[in-house]
Amino acid sequence: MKIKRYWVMWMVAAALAANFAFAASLCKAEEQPAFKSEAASLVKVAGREESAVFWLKLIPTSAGLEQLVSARRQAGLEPGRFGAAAYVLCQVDVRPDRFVIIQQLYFDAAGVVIADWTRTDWASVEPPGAIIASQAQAVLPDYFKLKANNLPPGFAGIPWGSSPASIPGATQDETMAEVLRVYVAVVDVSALLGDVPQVKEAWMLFDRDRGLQRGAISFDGRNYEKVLQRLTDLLGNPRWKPGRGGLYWSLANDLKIEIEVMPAFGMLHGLLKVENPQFAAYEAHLFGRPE
Amino acid sequence: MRKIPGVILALSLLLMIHATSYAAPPVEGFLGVSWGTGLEQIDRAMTAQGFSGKTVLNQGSAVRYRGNFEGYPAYVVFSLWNNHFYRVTVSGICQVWDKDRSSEVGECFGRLQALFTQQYGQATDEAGPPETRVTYWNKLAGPAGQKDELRLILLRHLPEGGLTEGSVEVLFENRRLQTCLYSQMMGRMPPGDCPVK
Repeated sequence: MKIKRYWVMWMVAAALAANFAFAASLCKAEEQPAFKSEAASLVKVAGREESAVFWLKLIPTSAGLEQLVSARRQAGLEPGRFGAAAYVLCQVDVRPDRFVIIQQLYFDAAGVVIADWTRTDWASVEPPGAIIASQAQAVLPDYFKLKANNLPPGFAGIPWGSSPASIPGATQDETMAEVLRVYVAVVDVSALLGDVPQVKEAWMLFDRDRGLQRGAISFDGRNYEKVLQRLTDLLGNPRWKPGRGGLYWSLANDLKIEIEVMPAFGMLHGLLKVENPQFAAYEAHLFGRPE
Repeated sequence: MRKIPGVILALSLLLMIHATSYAAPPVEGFLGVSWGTGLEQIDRAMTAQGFSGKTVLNQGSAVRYRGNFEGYPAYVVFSLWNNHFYRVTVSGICQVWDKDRSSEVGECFGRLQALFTQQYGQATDEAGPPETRVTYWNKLAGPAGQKDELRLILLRHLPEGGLTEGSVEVLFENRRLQTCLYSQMMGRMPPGDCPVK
């Protein structure tokens, strides 16, 4: 029966086409998440005191906008202008064990603020605050995952425990707490600073018996963003502790990198410190202060 | 009591005045390299004196040589900003680890101290605990003729039996030039009489 055979073939083809269409729609759904995210800024300088915060930018797709509007409708609220949100900035307080979203700023495409909410607990806030908060919580860990790096422990290729004599041209600068010696030397720090030049010789802290434990590099503070960007590209997003000036990367239990910028004498001074965190407890003991 | 003759008194006073007003002549540079010169001229001068192992560091902000300084093996590092030399350090002189050889470092320091006193006049200051001795010549005149333009430091630290070795170091800097170059580099208005534009 010729017609029956064609009918079966036609059915098989239709089924295959339907499967392909379904698979394609799945892929499409994966390509278009409800929100896209990016780090907006890592540093905010307010007045004389510098404070570092992490800003996460969430950009809703059409599916995301639908979520925002329907969340309001389900709560019996007017959608307002949430359907026109172009992006949401979340200010994040990065704590050692968790991320706390302390502010949500909703902007339209013209950069006009639609809503500005400040909260720490978003569970009970009117929609869509909770959606944005949970979306941010879901993507934030990815921003703080350290990238694989090839930086060896030590300062600019000089291993921890080295003696000053292993650094050609190092000169002693200061003596502290009987066993600590500060030396200065010109060392190649291009692995850390890239093409940003050092403005002074690097200084290094040596323990009389434990050798090199810390190094610091000075750079022009106007290059701070450039250095921050380079290190972020190299090492991943930095961390920050409230009450501290510097952003830092804890790369291993024996390698910590921190950058700071400070104004003095009408100039902006940048400082990059590389240290062996294992030395901190011993150093605190030397100076008789709590760790 | 015998009276001191007037002529002797006058001569003594004249000598005292002369001694206090004596100032070492302006120091144009170090190791035959004039303040403010660039990498190329430094290299010419150092090669001519038998220094080798030239290493340019940090995009030309310093250049290091290995050679003999006053008969002692040492590293010589010239620091530059914008290709102008403003500071030189000589390090690793009489380097020893053994505590029993502390006297070698002391002798070395004494010899260089005497040499610098002969060249630059009496030191202006001395400081530091016994294991680290620092002698300063703080009021040296440079090419601009200002009496506190340059600073020469001679430092000695004794071996302590650990990882920090004993050695003698020399740091010679043109402070006026350094201030000018640093201000320029950091985007701050340099002083009006800056020798480098």
